[in-house]
Formats: sequence, structure tokens, C-alpha cells
Amino acid sequence: MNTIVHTTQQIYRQLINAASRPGHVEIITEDVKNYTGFSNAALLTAMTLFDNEISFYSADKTMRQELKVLTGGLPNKDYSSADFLVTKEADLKAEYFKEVMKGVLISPEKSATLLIDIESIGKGQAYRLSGPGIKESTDIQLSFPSSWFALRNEVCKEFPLGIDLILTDKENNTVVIPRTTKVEVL
Amino acid sequence: MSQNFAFLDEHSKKEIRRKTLKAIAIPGYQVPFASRELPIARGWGTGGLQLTLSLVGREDILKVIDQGSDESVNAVNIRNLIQSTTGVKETIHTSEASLIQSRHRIPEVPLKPFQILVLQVPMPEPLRTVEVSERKTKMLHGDKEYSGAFIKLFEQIMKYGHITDDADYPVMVNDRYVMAPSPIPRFDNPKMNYNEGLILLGAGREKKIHAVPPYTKVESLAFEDYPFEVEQFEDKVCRKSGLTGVYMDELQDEKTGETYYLTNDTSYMLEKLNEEAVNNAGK
Repeated sequence: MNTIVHTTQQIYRQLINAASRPGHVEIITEDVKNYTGFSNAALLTAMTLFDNEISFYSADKTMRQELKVLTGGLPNKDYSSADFLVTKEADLKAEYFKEVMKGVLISPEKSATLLIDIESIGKGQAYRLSGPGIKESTDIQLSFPSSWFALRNEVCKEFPLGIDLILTDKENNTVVIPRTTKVEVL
Repeated sequence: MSQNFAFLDEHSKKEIRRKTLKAIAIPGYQVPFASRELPIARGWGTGGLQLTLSLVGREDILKVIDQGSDESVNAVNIRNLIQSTTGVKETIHTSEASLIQSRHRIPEVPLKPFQILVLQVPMPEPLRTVEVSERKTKMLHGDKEYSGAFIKLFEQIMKYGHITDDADYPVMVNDRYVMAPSPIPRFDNPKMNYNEGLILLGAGREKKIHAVPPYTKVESLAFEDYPFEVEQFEDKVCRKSGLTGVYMDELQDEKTGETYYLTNDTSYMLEKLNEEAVNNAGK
């Protein structure tokens, strides 16, 4: 029998693969009762990582309610102190990149992770990724416009400070772009 | 009595999982984690064990080694605990395993993409011998102030004429963090550099997780006039298998008092011996 214990384990391993190989696309195929407007991949990723020890910000009321009930994660009205931000590409704001936690030098892990549900992974603007986890370079196409990456690169320019991105799309494709990854527009 | 899959409760796993993802995002940085109680004492591989338990799934094929051996008490007990709470398959063959937990060795067979090597770490802080305060070592890491790590090596050269750190030889990860690679021999340090698998390191007693993602630069600390050197086994021959150039244990024959060498990675030796036996049978 496949319980939530096994589902989250499988998704965690997919996240590990995606995080340790930026640009590598994992498809989250597990099923979930999804009452939100987000993809299953976004909901399941949050269900895998959230519990009552973290706070999250989401402008989407349904998603906020669902995650609170399903994971016990603490909704945070203030995105500048949230551990996770859960948002759709359409609702993304420049302030999110500028004002979220990016860690401090003695504790760079005290930074936000942005979980963004985008239109498409595989179509759109082409990017070249390089850095730890990538053999030479990986090319990837994302519906995500380069203006967002310009903001992201600005937050991540002082490594080890920065933010990590988890991107999901409607087809439940998932990629992780950690702060170490150099993103170039092609 | 039934036990949760992979022993740990889901909250503990989630915490370890979040910290592990951070560790991958900041290669070589020691991420603090809660380090829960386990049925083995801290200092006996609990960091590695917690990482393994947070990772393991029903489809995994598990290998556990202790100092290169699949059959030592520590390796067997850890494997038994993981298997009895998950029912996963086990193997001794490095290339067949999806998840490898190891104490003090990186296997001779190179890691493949998507394989995960979990190392048990007793002392995760490479600066601890020069600075006792955790608060201060965290600041030194923050400032990338690593003269202490170099002074330690420099003093060894002044005293003994060469660097005496044989295991747990400090490395620089991704040109940013100096990291303790756990007490693997110097011989294994170069295996981490741009390796294809993911290496996760867990220190249960010291409550730290750090990571080396695949294709990441890992450089052993050294000086221009005292370059990094690994142990040489080119002129040594394994008594059992005739292998050479692999990491070996130096042993003494109790009857004759003669010194001899044996391959430390026992599963690798077994694979080579079996290969030889098959080849000989074919002739």
C-alpha cells in the first residue's frame, strides 16, 4: 500500500535529484486530492517539506488554507520573514526577490525557498545553467521571463547568501535552481 | 509492535530533508539539524543513519560499509536496523547500490550519477582544533577566514617535515568552504573532486549535515612547496588478490611476523577475485 509516508519519500528523492543536478527535470507523477489552482507537483512538494516548524507565505487564500490543514505549516503574513514562499508565476512580485530572507554570513541556511508554479518547463525563454551539480552546462527552457532571473541573480550574487528556487509547472515537471547555479540568458 | 517506515517519525524526516536540501544548495557548509534519538548511541554513526533513514524508500538497494568492509559489526547492525524497518534489498556491490552508507571510506568503484553516498562524520568542524568556540568558528566560516586550517598543517610541517593528517584531511569545497570530509584516508580525497554521485555527510553527535553535490570542485588544502599527496600503494601487493594501487591495510602475519597488505575495500576485492575465477574457468 502506498501511504503519504511513501509518497513524500519518493518526492523528496526527486527533489534531491533536482537540487543536486540543477536543470535536471523530475516529473512528479504521484496523485493528490488537489483543491487549489496550483499543480499537483507544487502542492506535493509543499506537503513533502512543510510542517509546524516552518512558516510560509502565500498570497493565494485556497493554497494557504490547504497547506495549513494538510501540513500544519504556519501561514506568515509577512513574506520577508517566511521560510517558504508559495506562489504562481502570475502573482510573483519583484519585492519577493528583494525582501525575502537571504541568510546571514554565519547562517546562510536561514534563507527563503521560493516555490513557484510556472506556466511551462520546457517551453519559453532558453537559459544556460552552470555551477555545482552540473557537468559543464545544462540548457533549459522556461516560461519564466529573464527579468525574474535578473532579480534572482541580484539576491544570489553574494554567495553563500541567497535564495533557492523550486519551479513546478502544469505538467508536474519540477526543477530546482539553488543559489550556487549561474543562470545565463541565451 | 509495528514501527514507522524507516524508523523515524515523519516530522523528524521532514526536518532532516529540509536541512539536507539547504546543505546541497551551500556545498561544504555545515547546516545545523536537530539530530533525534536513535536506538544506537551518538557517535556510532547516527548522523549518517538519520540521513539514510530520511532518504531510503522501498525501491532502494542499500549498501552499508565500515572501513571498507560490508561485514563488520557496525555495518551489519546499521544495515539490519534499516532493513528491518523498511524491507529494502541489500547488496555488497557498489555499482548496484542506489544508497550507500559508509564509515571512513569512499568505495574504490567510482560513484555513478544519481547514486547517493552517505558518510558518517565524528567531527564536522575542520577548525575545531584551532578554535574551540562554535560561535567563533561559524564567524570564521562566514568570513572565509581559514588561516587557522593552514596553520595547523604548517605546524605539522615545521614539527615533522611533512603534513601528518592522514585521515579527515581538510578540503576546500567549491572555492568557498573548508570542510572536514570525515575520517576517510587522504587516498579518498581526490575521489570527491567532480565526482558523479551525491555525497551527503551527517554528524549525529555534533548535529550537522553537509554535502558535496555532483560535479563540484573539491580541493585538498596544501602549500605550493608542500603539495597534497595521497598514500602510495603502487609498490604494495594485496596478499589475497594480487591487486595493487588500491587502498590497503597493513597487517602482520602472526606466525612469521612478516608484514603483508590486504585490499581494504573487501567487496571490490571479492568482485576482482570472482572475475578472475570466471576468467580462469573459461580458459
